[in-house]
Amino acid sequence: MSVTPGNSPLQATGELPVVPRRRMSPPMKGVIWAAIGFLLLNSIVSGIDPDVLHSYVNQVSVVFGWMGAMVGWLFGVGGWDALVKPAFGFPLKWKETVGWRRYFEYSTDHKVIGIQYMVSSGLGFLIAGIAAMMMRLQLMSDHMWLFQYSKGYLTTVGVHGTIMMFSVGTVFMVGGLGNYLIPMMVGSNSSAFSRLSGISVWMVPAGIMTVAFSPLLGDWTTGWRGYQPLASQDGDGIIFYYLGVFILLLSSLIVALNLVATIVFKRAPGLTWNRLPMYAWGMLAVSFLNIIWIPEIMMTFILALLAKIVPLPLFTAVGSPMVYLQMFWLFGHPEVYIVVVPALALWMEILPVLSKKTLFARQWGVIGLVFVMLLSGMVWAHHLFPTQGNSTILPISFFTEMISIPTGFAFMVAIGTIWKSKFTLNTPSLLVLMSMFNFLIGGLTGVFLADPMVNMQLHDTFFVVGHFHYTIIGGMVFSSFAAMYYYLPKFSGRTFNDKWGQFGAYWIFIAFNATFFQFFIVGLRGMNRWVPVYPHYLMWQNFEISICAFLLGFGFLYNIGYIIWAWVKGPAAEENPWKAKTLEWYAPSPAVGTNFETEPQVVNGFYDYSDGAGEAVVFQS
Amino acid sequence: MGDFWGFGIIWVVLSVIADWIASIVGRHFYVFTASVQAQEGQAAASFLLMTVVPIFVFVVMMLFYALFRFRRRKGDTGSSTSQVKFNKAYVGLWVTLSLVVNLFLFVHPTASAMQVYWQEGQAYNKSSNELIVDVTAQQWGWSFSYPQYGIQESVDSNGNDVLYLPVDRPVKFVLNSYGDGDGLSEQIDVIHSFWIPAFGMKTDVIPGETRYEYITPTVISDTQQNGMMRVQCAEVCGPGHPYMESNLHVVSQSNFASWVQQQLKLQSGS
Amino acid sequence: MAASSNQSNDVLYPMQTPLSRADLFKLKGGLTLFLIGLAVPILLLLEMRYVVAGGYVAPQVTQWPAIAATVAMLLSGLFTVAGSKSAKKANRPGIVRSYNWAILFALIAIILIGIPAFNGVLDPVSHYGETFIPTMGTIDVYLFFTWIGMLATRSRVKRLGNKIENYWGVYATNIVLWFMFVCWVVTWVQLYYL
Repeated sequence: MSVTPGNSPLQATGELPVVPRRRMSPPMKGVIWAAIGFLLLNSIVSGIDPDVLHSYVNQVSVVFGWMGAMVGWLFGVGGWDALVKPAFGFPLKWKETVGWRRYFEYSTDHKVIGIQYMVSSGLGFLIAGIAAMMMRLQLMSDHMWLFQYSKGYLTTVGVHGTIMMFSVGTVFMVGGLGNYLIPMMVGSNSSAFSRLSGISVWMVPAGIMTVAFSPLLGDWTTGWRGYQPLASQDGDGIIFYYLGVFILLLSSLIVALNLVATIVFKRAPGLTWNRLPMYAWGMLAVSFLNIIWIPEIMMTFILALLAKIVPLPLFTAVGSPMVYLQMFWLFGHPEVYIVVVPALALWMEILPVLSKKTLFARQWGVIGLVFVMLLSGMVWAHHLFPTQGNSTILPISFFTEMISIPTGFAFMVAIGTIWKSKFTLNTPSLLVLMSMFNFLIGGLTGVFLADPMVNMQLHDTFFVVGHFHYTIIGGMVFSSFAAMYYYLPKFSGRTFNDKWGQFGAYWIFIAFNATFFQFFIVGLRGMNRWVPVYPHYLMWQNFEISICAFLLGFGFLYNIGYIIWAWVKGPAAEENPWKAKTLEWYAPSPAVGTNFETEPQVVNGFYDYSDGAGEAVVFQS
Repeated sequence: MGDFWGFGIIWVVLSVIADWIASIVGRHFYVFTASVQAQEGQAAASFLLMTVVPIFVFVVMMLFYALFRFRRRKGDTGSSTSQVKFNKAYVGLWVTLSLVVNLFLFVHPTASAMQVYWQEGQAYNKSSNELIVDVTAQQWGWSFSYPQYGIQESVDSNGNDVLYLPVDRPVKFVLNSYGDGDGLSEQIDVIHSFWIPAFGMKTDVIPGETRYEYITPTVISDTQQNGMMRVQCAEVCGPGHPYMESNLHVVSQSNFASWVQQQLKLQSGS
Repeated sequence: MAASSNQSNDVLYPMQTPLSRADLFKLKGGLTLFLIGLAVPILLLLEMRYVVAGGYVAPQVTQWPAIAATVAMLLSGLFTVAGSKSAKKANRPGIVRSYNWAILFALIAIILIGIPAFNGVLDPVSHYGETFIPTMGTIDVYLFFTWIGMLATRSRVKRLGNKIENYWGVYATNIVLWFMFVCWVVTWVQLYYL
């Protein structure tokens, strides 16, 4: 895609932004600075360590070395020139470039940042996806064959889960789509804290790499939850798990601050709370969850890290092993709503547009999103039904069952909108319907898990694995693909061939259900989690699941490949191909440079498609 | 109105059919049940299945309606003729129903099934017939002792730890993590989970705490006959986790008595 | 600290653009959210102390540095307030003078808070020690980053000189420092006396 210099946000300074004289590409500089930072701090800590028997890279030194590397990376990639030096009042020598190079350097343009988030997150999806394929390969047989030792398999499980949760689930629809769309949706030309946002995106690739390379330090077997006291006696790779997740969460925290401030303080005139787009409501709910729970889990991970490297006895038998579990799930359950609330919001965003019908019961959709947010802090302990004492089971079970009510409002609104509409069947709308189907199964199987007696059988089995893959892949990933197809004209000015898009949608839908529906069955037959080997009677079903899983993997590859192809080479799209009324479609497509040359004024709701509704937005010149 | 009644009739018919199927499938939800507790869980799960199936049918039918009935015809570019923004009856019914269904499910089977389980535990504790099995979890294996019979660690002929239970007799598992619990050693052991798939119940074993599980086995079987009859660690506990399982034999009361004698002989001989 | 990025062209310089009321509102709101986020770990640590160690306070814990650190932080805070007052009058040398002292006292506070945590009196393997050290350490890390922020503010005021159009950075630094003071006092009272 091409960028005309006149569209750059820096244009108005009077000097045309030029590609500066050849300089080292910022990521390269970041890598070099990171290496220097690591060596420096690792050597210092290693040098002053009084224990003479330690190796050069040891538990403590690697933590400090990693911090050095992270600071080096963030500074090298642009933080030093564009953030730190101006903060100290030094003159700014940084110039934003144009063209594809923009995506490989520090930027303050929320659209560039959004795409950087999406690409980094997509990279995480691929890495974690490869880990998943390796797991399924191993599970084709009931004895060890792909991995030599079970700890290799368990590390793969951990890497898969960690990267998927913290760099895809939490990031793609919030850091990626949120950063890209929210400022446009509220009629602003920039996000609230664009300079901060520009640096936070570079934490994502660093975090993914940290987790992906954690096996270098040693295998860790806890899975993505890092349960204590196992984590304290696990291999040193767990250190990189804590650090990698820490930096990924820091990135998400900055995104949350930025999005809340943007939505609250940067709305265009006339964009009242009653008119705020549904996706913005979703982002607001998610970001509040992030602001409360991400610092909580970051602190927990620091404590767990200290428990590992000092070592502190916090979470061992002489301390209180349950404390870590409680603290983890206090964050852990809001986390799954952080993943899925954007998907629910996206349904309500896309469906009225593609069915050309007024969004049904809008206020109930908003109430649903907000109550999911409020209740999600009260349900954590259902992850611990077999773990905790009996006395706390019932209240938690109560709230767990109750949270299905506000979640159900999203279905109520979606169904009410579809009813008697003129439903345009194309790739994004099909993917939304599929996402609703999948999330429905994920939600209804959750009813079984919320029941403590049934939970005692299903806990820690593949039934649970099936359940949360239905909510996360089925809900969030399918919705993400819907969003990618839906917003492709906005991102790139190009569109896709609906036949090939629908083909891809059916492919992943069928492969996904063939894979994960069997997870329920194999779990009920006695397949437990975190095992590379299992009783022989489960082997044929696992073999068959693996085949379906590979089909699903290729299906995702096909869709990603097709989206990339359409992005670069697809047929040119109209300015507003879906005839949507929301503000982002008033910005140019492809959205490059300034969003709105003149400030938009919102005069109507965005989701009213009745004949006399009139335009939602006017521009005063 | 036509769509409304059409949808309603199809929904009722499909729900009845689906619930009929669910009532059959639900009976096999736990695949294999070999204890009173598993049967209770099975009943609860079957009830839940019958409850959620009509909801499932409702939403999925609506998705198919979107795909076929409400699909935009070729060449039609206008907005939908219906632009309803709110419908008190629909929203009111939806909110009320979801509240009622959830509250109802909380009372039954959630609270009722837990109540039954806890009462069983209390009844077992009062019963003179109760068999006490001390279970110790350790990285990575289970050991079982029978304090009422003086069996310190039950083993099979190969010397592997094994769990023998008499059929139709209440059992209380006393679950502890390995270690003397003197508070001196920093890392005694990690969290495990004591699970016998066929018994429909699992309880985590927490270092430094004692947990109890109450079971009455109802079927004579063993690990060789049915893979779900096995003691399995269900909570990841390190590299040996996949191998942390033991064989289980549920035998008749008389066979159990002779097994006890044999264990005692083995114990005094060694 | 956060800086403005309104419709102006110079998106990359802080303190060089005049702030509208809306901008100021946004910055204050953002800072509030940020501080709410920062308060969460402190709450978690205070809660965990009761879970792990109950109300026990180790008798050997070193008292004087905590009291001295409170005084140092208070002095530092008073000087940042003086800085904010100078900023209202656009008295730049006054800001720099106040910040010199504020930075000095904040540094003293950082060192003083570090003493009881790391002087080896408390056993990190005891229940009180294992919560005391991370909590004090967290406060210290917070304070260290605040200190860097103070250095940046001072340096910015000094270097940008009469190009400065708004003094939000100075006000924000003052707010953050007082937030840290409250966090510290709560932590101190809780760890030493409750």
